[in-house]
Amino acid sequence: MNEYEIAILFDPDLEVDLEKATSKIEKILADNKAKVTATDNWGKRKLAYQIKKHDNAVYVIYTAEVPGENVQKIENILNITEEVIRFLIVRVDQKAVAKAEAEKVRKAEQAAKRSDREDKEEDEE
Amino acid sequence: MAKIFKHRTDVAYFDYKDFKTLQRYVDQYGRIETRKKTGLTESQQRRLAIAIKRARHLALMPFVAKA
Repeated sequence: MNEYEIAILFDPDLEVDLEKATSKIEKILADNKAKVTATDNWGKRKLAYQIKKHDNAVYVIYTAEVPGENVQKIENILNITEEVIRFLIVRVDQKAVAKAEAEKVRKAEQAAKRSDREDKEEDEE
Repeated sequence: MAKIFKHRTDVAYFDYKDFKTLQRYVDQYGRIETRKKTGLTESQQRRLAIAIKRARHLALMPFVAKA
């Protein structure tokens, strides 16, 4: 089981009944033993260029634990799913994410130290 | 050639979803800037390119932008 990010662009005409489309995708994922850990709905966005004659699309990004051998199967199904106009499945780079988190913590500490020092200087004055 | 970013970037990794950051590394036509201009390390530039290409695939960024 690896962590994957599954970004899906839905047909904008389905926005009114997005529930139906998302539940269909969730069913596909569940059928392939994918465990969805997070869902991020960006809503309707303008596309940088036309895709299948559409100017807009509804962006939904899933984070899921998927057995590696099923990724290809999910891709095959998404390719023939009409509601989906574009998708992207990528492995989450755990190392990079951890590094970014560490960097954030380090920065916060530095900022805290800096403000401490400033406080002291103010006290001296 | 003037570098866009004089200091080393502190971006630990480039995320294809964060197209606002990625936008800073392409020119007005949507082309990825060279390392000379971005001032990134070799591996950072490689990861940047992958992130931009993913963003393009999802139409978050243009392949070719009109000036």
